[in-house]
Amino acid sequence: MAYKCTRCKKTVEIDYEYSGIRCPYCGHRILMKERPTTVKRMSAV
Amino acid sequence: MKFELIELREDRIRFLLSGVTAAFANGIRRACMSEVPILAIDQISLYDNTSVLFDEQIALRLGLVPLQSKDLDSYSRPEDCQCGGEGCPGCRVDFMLSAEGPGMVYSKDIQFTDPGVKPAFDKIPIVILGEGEKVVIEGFATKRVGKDHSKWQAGTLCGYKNLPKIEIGASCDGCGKCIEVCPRDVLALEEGRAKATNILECSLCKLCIEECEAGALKVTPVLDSFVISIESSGVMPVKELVAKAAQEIRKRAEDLDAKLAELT
Amino acid sequence: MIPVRCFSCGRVVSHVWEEYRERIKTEPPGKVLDDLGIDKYCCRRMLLSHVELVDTLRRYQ
Repeated sequence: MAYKCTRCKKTVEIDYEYSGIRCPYCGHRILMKERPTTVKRMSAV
Repeated sequence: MKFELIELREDRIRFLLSGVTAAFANGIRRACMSEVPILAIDQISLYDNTSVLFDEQIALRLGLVPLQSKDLDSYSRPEDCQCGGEGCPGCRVDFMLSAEGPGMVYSKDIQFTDPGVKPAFDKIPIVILGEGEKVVIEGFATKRVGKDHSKWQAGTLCGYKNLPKIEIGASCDGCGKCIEVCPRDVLALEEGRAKATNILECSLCKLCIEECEAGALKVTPVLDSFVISIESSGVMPVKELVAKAAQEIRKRAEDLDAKLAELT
Repeated sequence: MIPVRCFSCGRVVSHVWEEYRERIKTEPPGKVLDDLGIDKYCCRRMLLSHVELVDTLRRYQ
């Protein structure tokens, strides 16, 4: 699963083996989940 | 049945209907609100949305935009359609909305495949986009009735009241207290006596009766006359709306008639 | 964002929002609403009580 670091804006792959969530490039610990590229269908209510 | 027009505007009508029952007046009101089918955006597919609003919020806002159609009768309701509700050009109007910021996305930016279909109001803000933000939405509108969801409601504010009748007895001494207390300026003083000059505005609140020391006033509803006011949401002129509501009632009655005829 | 329709009666109110917002800078809001044809109190409160937060929140996007 690809995430995006909120500080360095790089796309980050998370290594689940490693304890904790951290950007490997800048060490920032807040990551954002990117919007999936699939089409989202919903009813307009 | 007697019909008397009080007020007619593009989106609002007020008329006096006498010689009918409350059930009939209520039938007209209910049909205007929930039985007249119109188009509204039903399902959407979001390809991209990087705006500040959530996908669901944009979906709701799009659904609430009232849609005008030049030829509404050419569309059928999905459950009555020959495609069996699967979706075909006979019961769906596709649209596309794609915009890139900065700027406001308005209802006029929704592009329908049928040139006869357009939003009733051009300047409804859908979403505001900042620098580099983008929305790409595709979807379709269907024709349904207000019972399914209020976005398909053709009449917004529909109501009726009994026609008031104000009788002023001989004991009126022209004190003017009833005129003062009336919140809708129904009464006026004429030749030393109170007179009902603006009777259609009366809401039968009976404040004037409480105030009248001489007990000269009598306010009663006329039980077979109704002041009906209908307001359209903008999808069609209100005259057409009332006519269509009456047609819907007639259609139901004819259905029942046909079913009863089958029995014998 | 201003709601598209009035919560109570369902009448469209948002199409006058931008004009309303411009005009209340110089005119009394009540008069502007009368001018724009928003005459019911349920619809009037939609515009009168609305606080536009999108511009404020967008900075934290």
